[in-house]
Amino acid sequence: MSELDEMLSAFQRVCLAETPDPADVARLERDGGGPAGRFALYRDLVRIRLRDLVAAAYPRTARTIGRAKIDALADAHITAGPLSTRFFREHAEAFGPFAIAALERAPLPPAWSLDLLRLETAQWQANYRPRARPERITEFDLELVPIPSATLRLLTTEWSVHTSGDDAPERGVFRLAVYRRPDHRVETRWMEPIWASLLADLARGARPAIDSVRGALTEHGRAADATFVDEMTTFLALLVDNGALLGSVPAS
Amino acid sequence: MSASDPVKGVGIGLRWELADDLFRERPASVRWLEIHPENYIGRAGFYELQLERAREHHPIVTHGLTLCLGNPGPLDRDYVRALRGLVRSLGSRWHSEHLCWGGTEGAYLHDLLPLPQTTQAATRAAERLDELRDALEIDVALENVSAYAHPGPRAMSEIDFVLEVLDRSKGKMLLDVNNVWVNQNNHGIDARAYIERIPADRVVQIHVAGHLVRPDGLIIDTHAEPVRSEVMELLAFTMRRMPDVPVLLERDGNYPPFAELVAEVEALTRIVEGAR
Repeated sequence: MSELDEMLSAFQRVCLAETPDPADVARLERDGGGPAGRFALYRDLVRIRLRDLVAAAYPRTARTIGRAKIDALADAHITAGPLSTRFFREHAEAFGPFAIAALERAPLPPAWSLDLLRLETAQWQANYRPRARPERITEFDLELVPIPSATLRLLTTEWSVHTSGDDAPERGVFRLAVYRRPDHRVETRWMEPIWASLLADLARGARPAIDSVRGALTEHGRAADATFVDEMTTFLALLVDNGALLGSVPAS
Repeated sequence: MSASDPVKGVGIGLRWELADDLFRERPASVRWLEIHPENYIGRAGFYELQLERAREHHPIVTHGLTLCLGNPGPLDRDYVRALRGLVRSLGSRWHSEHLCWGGTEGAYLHDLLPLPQTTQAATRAAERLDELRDALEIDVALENVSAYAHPGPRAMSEIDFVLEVLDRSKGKMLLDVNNVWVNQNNHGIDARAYIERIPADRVVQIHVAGHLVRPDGLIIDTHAEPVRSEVMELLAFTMRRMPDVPVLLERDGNYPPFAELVAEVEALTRIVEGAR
């Protein structure tokens, strides 16, 4: 490694290591480098920028668990070494699964913190993901295979974090769909169990939609009566109009 | 104004927080826009929409944050290909990157870190700049950066380091007047002497911004305050040497009411027009 690259590596370790190695700092300050102590400022600037990014991407989680705790998670994320993307937004996205795993191992109060983090992770992903659109796509058709939006995320929470704002949520079972609408707004929609089952199967894009409907009917013991058909038509139209389902393609 | 208009006068950096006001009011004093490609490449949603709206009324120039000219290792071919596509679709007259480094061994620190001011670092930056220029097939400008410390021994002064890279490359320059002022304060360089040595015919763009003065006197280059009068004066000095170079106001945080920002653009415009 060249002298230049050794210098840059030492500089990087000073910024990213859990505790900077005094030998690295000494190397940077050697032979006229410095002033002394100033490289700690760069360490702070790098970390503060990434902490601010995380707090901005997960604002409700930050308010709920407190800024100090989300900063500690952001620092742990840096120490774990995931700064491998040039895109700021992807660093924020990578933080979500990292922090979810951390809270699954060691929960933080309040009890709904994990659900809130999972919801904000889904919303962040839906916010910027490109909307890939297959070439041969047609209008949504029950006889054909559905194409879900690349922004669609499905999750089940134990707390009503989708409606609670900064207040304490209710406990229960909440099935949610998160997706980006054609007007670029991210929408979070609560679903009854049968529609959550239907959308989960449609989102797999593995079989004609009518088969997903039959599966949902069987799973939930419902009959395909007029009421069901009306509700299903409304639900599917809403998903198509709001961009959660893009359309259909013939079965391959 | 339209996307095909020349890049002249004063522009602003397109930011999410400013976009709605900018597109609604379309102030005549804002003549052009600068974007960070990293905010748009591979991204959809509001950012995609924002770029479409920006292109309707303003010429756009691209200013990168992560291809730092002093980085070790080869250019990221996939990213450069995507950048080339964006630059072409926008009709950017030039593209700029910073004379700094931002990560090594596959990491991105998301900061603009000072390089050792050595011949080795200047040679690397010049080669990287020319490689990027060849790949993009448009001029690439290097931007001088602010610094709070210098890593290791300095073989040359900051201005000699900048000139060394320009001499060794076909690069243009994005002269950040605020960064020169910051470095005068933080490192005792002579800002006017620095600017007098910059080859005016290589400068394609100028940056100005606000900064934060800490209680201990150190200046932090925040882009989150109004441009200070000292920087305005240094800009006026600079414009007398290069009166036709377009000026970009950078504002990246602590956003004021839009009218205040427009007033700042108008003050800069008076300086630019006064130099002609």
